Amino acid sequence: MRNATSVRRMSRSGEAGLAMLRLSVVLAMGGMALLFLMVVAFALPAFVQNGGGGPFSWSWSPGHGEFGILPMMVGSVAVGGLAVIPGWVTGVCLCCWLLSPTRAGRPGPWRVLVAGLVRVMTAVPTVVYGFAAVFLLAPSLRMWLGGSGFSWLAASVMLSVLILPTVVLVLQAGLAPRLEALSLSGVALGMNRLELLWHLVLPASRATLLSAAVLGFGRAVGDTMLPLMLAGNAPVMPDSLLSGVRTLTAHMALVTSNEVGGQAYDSLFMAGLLLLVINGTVSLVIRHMGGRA
Amino acid sequence: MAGKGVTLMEKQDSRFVLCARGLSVSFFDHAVLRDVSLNVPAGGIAVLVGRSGSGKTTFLRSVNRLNEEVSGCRTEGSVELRLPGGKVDVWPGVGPDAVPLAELRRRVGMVFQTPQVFPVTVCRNISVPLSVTMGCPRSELDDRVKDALVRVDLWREVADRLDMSAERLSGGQQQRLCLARALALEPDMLLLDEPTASLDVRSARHVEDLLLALSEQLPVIMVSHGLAQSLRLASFMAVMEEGRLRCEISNPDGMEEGDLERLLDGAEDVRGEEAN
Repeated sequence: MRNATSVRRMSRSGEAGLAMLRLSVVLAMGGMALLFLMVVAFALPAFVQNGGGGPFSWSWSPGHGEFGILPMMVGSVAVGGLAVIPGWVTGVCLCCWLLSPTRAGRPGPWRVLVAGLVRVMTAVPTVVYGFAAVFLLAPSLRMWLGGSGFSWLAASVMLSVLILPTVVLVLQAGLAPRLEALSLSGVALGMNRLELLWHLVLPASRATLLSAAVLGFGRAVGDTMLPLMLAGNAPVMPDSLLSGVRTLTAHMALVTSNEVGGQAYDSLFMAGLLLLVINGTVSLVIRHMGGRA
Repeated sequence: MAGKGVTLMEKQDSRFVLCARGLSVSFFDHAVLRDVSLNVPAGGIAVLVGRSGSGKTTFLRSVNRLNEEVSGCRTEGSVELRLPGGKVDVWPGVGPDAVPLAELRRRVGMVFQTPQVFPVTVCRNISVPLSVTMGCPRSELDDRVKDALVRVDLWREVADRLDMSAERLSGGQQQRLCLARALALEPDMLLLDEPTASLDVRSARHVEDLLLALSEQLPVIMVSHGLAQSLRLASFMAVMEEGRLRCEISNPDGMEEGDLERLLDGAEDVRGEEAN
């Protein structure tokens, strides 16, 4: 009798758990769908705007009725793209170093320290990186390379630092189990863990490497504070690494703080939609490339 | 007089391929091997038998110092190898006969209980260790890969599938590939940790035949749980029990499974074995 009661109770708790899971899925999917719908719906007025000066033009000058956000789109891709290359390469190297202590399971004090620092980096607010760069990086660029220092290069350098822990942690999560699975047999052949990583684990982990790149790029393109503080915010096409650029996120922050309603305000939703499209497209293209390779 | 004594001792020593003295291994202060002293004679296959947890694998892994890859390992005593390439001080590994760890592991090949192929092609499973640990020139790699696969009787089966993922081979083929990978590095000795444990009877017999043929070319030390297999293959046996060497059987010919079973169950002097 007691057994039957406890089975009924377990069955009820199982059903409740299943209902909770379904509710979570519905909430998450519904939230995402609402977000997309809202962005598209609010962007539509700007999308159907006729004539010059609409969002799909190359000039942003609200005083002259020009609300082109294409320079900002190029700025986002340029800043994110330039950030992800050094960020990803450094992340791969750092991850390999962290995963390859000379004796398994016994990382030395330096590796422990660096691994801890990487985890701490994930919790550092971007404004802290921004302030550090405003007072250290921008003056250095100004002194060595000329210009104002607030540029495409400055924003990309700091964004590559920002995405580093994301890249490293994604890579570690993907590469460490693979390395552990073959480390004993590899070490027994006379190979060390770094050689195993380089020759066997990395070539077999294309999906992990691409995921780290996609997430790093998404983080770089989606960040607002660093481009706002460092990129110079000129709404023009960049012609060199030292020229100022404005990213879509920085543009949205700037316009939101000054405008309520009107064409400039409506173009922000188009900027949001473009951000989603850029991230989605890059993700699909890179994954497609990985699949084909 | 002293010189003659040394010469005699060296002659006696040359009969053995491995000499362990007072070998103790513990992990986080949990003793797994306790004061094991064992001389493994050269020639044939030496088989370590014993119940689970008796320390066979730990002993095997102390020959190529693989225990050190596990956290909390502490090793005491000494292990010495007398290989065709010369004497090697394995542990403590500080004397003039010590060799770098990577070289030791290349010269003492090992095959594990379950086939542990790398997640790359059949060809790269052999060519990568060859080029990394031996610096084998690219121009020689194909021939060396083929030679290794021929030695383990796998070439005919995979000749047209060298670019296929090794993970798609059958269990028996994977284990022979692991054997080929170890042999490609031209080891002076082979360690086998229950190499047929995960194979079906037919594949296991195939690997056994290969091992008997290989044992004529290089010393083989093997851990086995199968008593019948141990008796089929062994030219020397060491019985282990709770981390200690229980006895050595220098000529197991004529022994039967029942004798070995009784020995593992703790019977004394089943057939005049040499108690440690």
